Amino acid sequence: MAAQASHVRPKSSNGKLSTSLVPSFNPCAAPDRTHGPPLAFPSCSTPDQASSYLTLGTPDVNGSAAQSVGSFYWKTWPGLPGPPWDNVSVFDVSISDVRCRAAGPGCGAPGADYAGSVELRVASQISDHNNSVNPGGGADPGTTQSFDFGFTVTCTTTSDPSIGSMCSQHINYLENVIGGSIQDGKRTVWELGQFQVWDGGADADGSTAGDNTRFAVQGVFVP
Amino acid sequence: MRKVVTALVVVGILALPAAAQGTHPRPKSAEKVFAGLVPAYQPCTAPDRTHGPPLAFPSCSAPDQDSSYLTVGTPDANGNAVQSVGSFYWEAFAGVPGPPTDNKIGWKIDITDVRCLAAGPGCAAPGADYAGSVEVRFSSQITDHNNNVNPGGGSDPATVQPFDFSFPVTCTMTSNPAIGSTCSRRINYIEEFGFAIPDGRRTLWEFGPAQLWDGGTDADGSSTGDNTKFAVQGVFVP
Repeated sequence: MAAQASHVRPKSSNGKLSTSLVPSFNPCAAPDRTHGPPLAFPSCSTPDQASSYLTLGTPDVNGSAAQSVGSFYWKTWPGLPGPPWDNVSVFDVSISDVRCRAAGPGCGAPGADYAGSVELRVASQISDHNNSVNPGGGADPGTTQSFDFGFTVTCTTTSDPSIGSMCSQHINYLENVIGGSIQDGKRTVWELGQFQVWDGGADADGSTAGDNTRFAVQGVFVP
Repeated sequence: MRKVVTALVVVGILALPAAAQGTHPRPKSAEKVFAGLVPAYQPCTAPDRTHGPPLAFPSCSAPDQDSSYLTVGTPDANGNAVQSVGSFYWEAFAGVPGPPTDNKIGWKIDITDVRCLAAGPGCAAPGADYAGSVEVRFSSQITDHNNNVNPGGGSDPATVQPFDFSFPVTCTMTSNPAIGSTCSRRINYIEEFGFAIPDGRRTLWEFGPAQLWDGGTDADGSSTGDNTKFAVQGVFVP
């Protein structure tokens, strides 16, 4: 169905979104230091990783070499107008040298390769013309309530003891995520929050999200 | 939350580079972020619709732009052609170890076809090219080895309290009535603050979604109290 009036939209969003990933730390609540200028904000000594379960190789932290590189990539291609729905969205996430903080499910020992899964998560809000009073969709313009969009990413141990596991997933929205394509003509504006990778929690399973803790987020690193 | 704006007074104290000491894990590298920008909408608080499957979430009819001052061309919304393209780019380059400190962080922001919602400062009429400035803003948290008990920096590992990093972006009207203003700026950390991030500090900069805020009632992106959110990182499928 053709989109109807009422929400402004861009010509394109450049068709992609890509970000490097850095380990995430707990917020500073009781500062006991001050950062150097010009970003002279209060700070908390002893940085505390947000993940309770996973870490990365770092010589002066755990004796392993710094080897981790992480990234997330989202690419969209508009399809041909009209059915069949052939808009394509592809997601690629990868993060290398993923190691265990302690022994437990998916973790043979502290520093060992992680043998579980993680979760990619991003806060989302969609404004489009795919809404209706009744379930099933329609042509009404609307803005969804905020929701977390995500998927599970499997981590694979490596045979090289000098580098930890590789967590990697290539996802096609149409085929793998939720079994349906974004329809043509719906003018889908998808607002995105911070890209986050959450660990697998106590059960080392990224798909059981209740116990997962934040492992990495979008960001940059200057050595 | 604290805010860094370009008017921030630069305190040009350069501590000598010190080797980073233990305690915070870090990657080998993390250098780039590229995000398309899409118009921001108000959250849905009283749903009266349901979105189509598979994302069958409650939704609110009549999408309501977050910005009270700016918009982009859209035929069935305001009669103008769809022309807007926006993006935000962040890149970090590691310099050569040792003095002089030459690490570089740079940002690039561009958005086209920026138009006024109503007449007012920076806005001759509804739909006119916007003649003010906007503000790039993203929440930030840094973990590094550039902290001390006393002000001035040092080599202690620490995580700073979250803050908003932001800078204004000037918008330039076009001579073509078919397309609105272009807001564009390239900026780097050294030019902004007068010196580079020192070597060996193992600086991890976590940041939230890239956001573009309008100039508010005074059409000035650097006076941030009255600005409203105009665009955020996202994707668009036509």
